Amino acid sequence: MSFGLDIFESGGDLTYSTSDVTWNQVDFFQVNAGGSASNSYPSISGRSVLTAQFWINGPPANRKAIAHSITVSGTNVSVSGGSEDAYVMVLMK
Amino acid sequence: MSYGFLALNDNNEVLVSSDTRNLHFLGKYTTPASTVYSTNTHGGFRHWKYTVTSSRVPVVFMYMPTTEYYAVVRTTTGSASNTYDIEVIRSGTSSTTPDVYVFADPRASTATDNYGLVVYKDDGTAAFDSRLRPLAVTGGVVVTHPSNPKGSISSSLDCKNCNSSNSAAGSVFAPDQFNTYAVSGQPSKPMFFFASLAQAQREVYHSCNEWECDGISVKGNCVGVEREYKWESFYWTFYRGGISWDSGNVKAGWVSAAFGCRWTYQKDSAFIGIGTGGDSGSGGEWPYTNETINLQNNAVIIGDASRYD
Repeated sequence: MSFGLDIFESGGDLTYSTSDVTWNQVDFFQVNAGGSASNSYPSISGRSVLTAQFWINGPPANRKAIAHSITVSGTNVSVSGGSEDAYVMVLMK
Repeated sequence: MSYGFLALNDNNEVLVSSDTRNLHFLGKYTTPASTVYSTNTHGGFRHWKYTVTSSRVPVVFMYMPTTEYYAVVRTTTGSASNTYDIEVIRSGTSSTTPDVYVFADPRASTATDNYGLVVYKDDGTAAFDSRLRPLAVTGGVVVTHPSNPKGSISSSLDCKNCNSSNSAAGSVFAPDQFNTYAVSGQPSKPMFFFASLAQAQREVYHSCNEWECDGISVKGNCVGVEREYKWESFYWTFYRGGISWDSGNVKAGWVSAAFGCRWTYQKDSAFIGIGTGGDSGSGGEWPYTNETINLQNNAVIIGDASRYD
């Protein structure tokens, strides 16, 4: 390579390099049923942002389980409106 | 940034940053700890629980060995310390299980090697550790599930006491709708992150009546003892969103995750038009709603599973 970063393991095999792509974890937090959150992350400014939520308690089949709404505006990530406990993951690259 | 470490990749995207944390490989699980539920009707359904060891909330990727629909539906703390239970569902009737690849931020692992590159956050904890096999992704797509799990539902199920078999009801409700997203350039053994949100429920209602007259029927009126019977049956199926990988396409489709039926029965008796009492009964589980919810965009992240085998 003429520029960039190569990281090798002790055996000499390439582990990671600037030809790789990843999603970096900016935050990982829990939002409870009926709860909300609003966090600011300066590090996501100008970057692609991806969010995901995981059910903590498996959604039941005998009532409506509403997922949280997650919005990204500038460097702010807001979560609200869900009827279930969930983990929220914020990723950027 | 005015201090710290930042490495951008060839696409000018963040690869390593002291402001964030990379996800690192924790382990691969090829066998579920238990089977939560299994049925071969309604298009087939498998529900497994994997117990993974991690001190941090794990981020799970699935290697999907068949073209059926898979999804992670639950991530919760396990009964033992530093464990999480990951629940995975799949459509279809085969016994094949997905391989689960678990990632978490570097605080969940301790490297045994002393050769590599470690980047720390300003609090002194690791943001990146090359010894812990950081996650590299090969692609991704945002999917939305079709609003209907099944294009049309045509039913001739039994109106009386939910008497139709699960097999018969399953033929009515087996899902067949999906949205297709072409994703090119993926490895021969891709692994997928997908946390299911979409849900749907569909129901069919059947009712019927019978009338008996022990006397003479005159212009539709019974002169004598009469009985009127009414039966109602609500057959229903609950679906959850899943994804499949099929020849370079991610498909967002549905998995039948639960089903049931609720019935009611009523008998009214009369003698020459005067009510003399009746009888009634009910049983089974009610359907709770007949709609599709959580149809927001769902992220699918793709990586190369062979890199972590």
